[in-house]
Amino acid sequence: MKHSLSLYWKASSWLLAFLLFTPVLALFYEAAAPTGDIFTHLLNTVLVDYIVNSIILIVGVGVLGLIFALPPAWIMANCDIPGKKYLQWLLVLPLAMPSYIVAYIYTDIFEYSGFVQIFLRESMGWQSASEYYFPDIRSMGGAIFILALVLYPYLYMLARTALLEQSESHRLASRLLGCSPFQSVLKVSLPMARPAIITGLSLMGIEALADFATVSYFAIPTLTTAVYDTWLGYGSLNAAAKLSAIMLLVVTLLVTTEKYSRRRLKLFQKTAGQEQKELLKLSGWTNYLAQGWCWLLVIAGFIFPCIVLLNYAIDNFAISFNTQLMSYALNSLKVATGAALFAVITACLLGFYQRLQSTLLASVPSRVISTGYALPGNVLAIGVLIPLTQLDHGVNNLIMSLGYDPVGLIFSGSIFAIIFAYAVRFSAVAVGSVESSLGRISPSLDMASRSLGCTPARMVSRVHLPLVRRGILTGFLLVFVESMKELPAALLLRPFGFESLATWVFQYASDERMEQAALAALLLIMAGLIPLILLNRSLESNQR
Amino acid sequence: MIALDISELNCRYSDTNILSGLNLKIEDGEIVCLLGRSGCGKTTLLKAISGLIQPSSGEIALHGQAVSSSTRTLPPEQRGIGMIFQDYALFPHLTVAKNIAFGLKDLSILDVKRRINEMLELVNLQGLGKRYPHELSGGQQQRVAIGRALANNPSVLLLDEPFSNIDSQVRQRLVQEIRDILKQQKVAALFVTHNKDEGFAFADSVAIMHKGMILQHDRSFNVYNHPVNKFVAELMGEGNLLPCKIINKRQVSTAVGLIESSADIYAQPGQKANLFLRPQMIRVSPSFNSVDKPFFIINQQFMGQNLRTEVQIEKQILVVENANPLPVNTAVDISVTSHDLVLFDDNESVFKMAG
Repeated sequence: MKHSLSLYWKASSWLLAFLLFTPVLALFYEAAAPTGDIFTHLLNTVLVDYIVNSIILIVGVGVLGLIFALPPAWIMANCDIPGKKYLQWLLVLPLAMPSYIVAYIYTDIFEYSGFVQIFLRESMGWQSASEYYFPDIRSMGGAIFILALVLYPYLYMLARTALLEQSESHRLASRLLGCSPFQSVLKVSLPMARPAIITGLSLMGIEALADFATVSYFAIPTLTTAVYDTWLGYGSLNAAAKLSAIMLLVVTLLVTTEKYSRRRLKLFQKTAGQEQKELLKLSGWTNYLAQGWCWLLVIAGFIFPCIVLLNYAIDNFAISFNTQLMSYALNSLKVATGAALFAVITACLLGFYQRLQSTLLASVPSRVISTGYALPGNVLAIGVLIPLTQLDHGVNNLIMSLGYDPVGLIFSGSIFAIIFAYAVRFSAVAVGSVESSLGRISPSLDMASRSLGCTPARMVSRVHLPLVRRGILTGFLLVFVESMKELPAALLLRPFGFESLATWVFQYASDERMEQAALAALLLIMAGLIPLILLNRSLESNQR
Repeated sequence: MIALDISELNCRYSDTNILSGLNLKIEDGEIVCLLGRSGCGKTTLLKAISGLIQPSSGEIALHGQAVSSSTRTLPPEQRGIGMIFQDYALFPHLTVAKNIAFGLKDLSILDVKRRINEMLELVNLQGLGKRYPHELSGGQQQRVAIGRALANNPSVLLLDEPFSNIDSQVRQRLVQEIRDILKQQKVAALFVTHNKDEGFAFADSVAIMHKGMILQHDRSFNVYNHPVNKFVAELMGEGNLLPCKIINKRQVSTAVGLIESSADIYAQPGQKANLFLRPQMIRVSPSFNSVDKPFFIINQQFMGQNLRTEVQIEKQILVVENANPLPVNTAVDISVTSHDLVLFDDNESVFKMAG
């Protein structure tokens, strides 16, 4: 059903979409500019290494992610093991852990002066590092391990859902056609879940590529750290833009793979039977192995780091609970609230535009904004800096030409830049949330309210808005939490002297004094749990 | 030889008995329809036969070899059973040819190819081997499923509501076609459905299942005309229950007059009973003489092949099949075609032969 809408509404929808897309446009505009010295220098020296490192990181995280995520996904979908009720959502929790916090904690334990090596030396009687081999945690391998440990839940969630939705008849069919239970997994279950697995891997890949904190902490040069260094170190926006464009290329590749396999997903999972599945009862050592693997992941990825942090926080409570913490938390709150409000308003504007017009063209603004979520934080930051510095120059020139004193960098040098960047990145989350709850409103309600005499605007305010309230709230919360946790863009865009909880924790981790920021780290983790709880709830209700 | 022999089978979930003392035999080459309402335990029985669940007591044997008992359950892959599923359960990641070849073991590549072609020909899907399941229509997918299940020469074929997702226009033809294939392959089959018409068209005999038991297993004709109790009678189609009194071995007295039986009645004269009358056994004709007390038509509905006519008989409504339209309130006479009458006692079961 098509409803007439005011021109303002339409125009502002398109304008918003354009505005939120400017960073990407600006990035390519800048990247296309003639090559400067710095990029040429990079190209001749280390650029290839950076790219290779990024690729190794992505592939490594993917492979380790498969090993981590697939066994628990299969076990949770098909087996009946003790504690399953808790394990199935506990396994998602590592996603709430900022990777650099996990990296810091494991470094503390596994490095030369860490607990594990000291214990080994004392118990074996070794005197120095030359007498034994111990893998260095501050290495590519270490980074892959840490990132896989916090990112595997993406793959776990998608694979588990796909495996759960497979009908029992497929499994029974393969068994009756001669497959043993294990062969049935290899030949039927996993191949059928392939689209979901690839989707999960691409998401992990995007996150691994975008990760700045862990690789920076472990001093591994990748594309991400290179963007950071060229801008903050050499001040070359052009070289940073060129590197960012390369990263975007990789992201596009991963996103395309993801989109493609999502399409196949629909083909592969046409019927999610409501039948009751016969769950496999594991016995003996397989039971212990299955439980052990799941618990190991939960403990290593979430429980253990949390306990260590809690310990730090209690020991250093007097130092860390101070006015600084309060002011940084307030900064985070300001930025996150601003971004969330912006995102939610955008989402409503576009969502209703799309709903009321119901043409293909009307869905374009929403789709354009959805691309923002795939932008790595530092790439986005560079993309935001380019138009905002131009804007600042323009404003200052104008004011000076009118005979006043320049006002300084009011856009690129204030928290406006961070809020704008987060709006670009996270509006997609709010749009998705509002869109999905709008989608659940039956079109016949539109017809009913219009036939009962409502104008489109009245229908929106009296019928749609009350019904999508939950979606709006969820969208707000999700954007809020993502903005609290976000680090790479904040590091590049923050005004001088500005610290948020995330930047503060990262700063202290880099300075090897995270004990003192443990309280803030715990706050971040707690915030990160909120979207997981929401997500889990919606997954559970879908299953019913 | 008996292909599938189920004796005294009990299966329980937590504390409820889903199957209680179930007995069923299927001869080689015979197609048996298992008919029952949803929740009667059909799915559980299939799971037990295929080896997914273990019975709490009783035994299942395939060609004389015990495969399931309370102590030992042969895993599904070692049973040599073929199965057709309601959702076809074709593997979406494999082509039609690879689906058919999925269960083939210990054959050379050439033999596998030959077998695939044989099967494609058998189910009339020549040239579609390279397609993926989602590129086929529902009926075609069902045929692939048949080909896949038969490729292995299964000792018994189980069919779980195989036609419920097929359009009604195509269904009848497909039912006939698949029955012909199974007959040609001489495979014993258990066909599970809740649709009696499919059962009649597809199977040689019908087994009526209710509350985890088989109530009656016989040729379809016999089950329809000689149901063992009211439940079976009504499951097989609509009918009227008319209170009556036994007059002698061949006659009962009812509100519509004396009715003749073509076979002996086992109940004693003078005994009260309920007469089960199918609508097509009753005739109505406009009443012209005013001697008999006439009955009146209260409703008539055109059903395509006939007219479903309701006639008021004292406090009861009699459903009758009629070929000619009659206006409401027409006075009619009622007659019953002479046949082997179905009479139920107080327990809603048929009267047994005395002694």
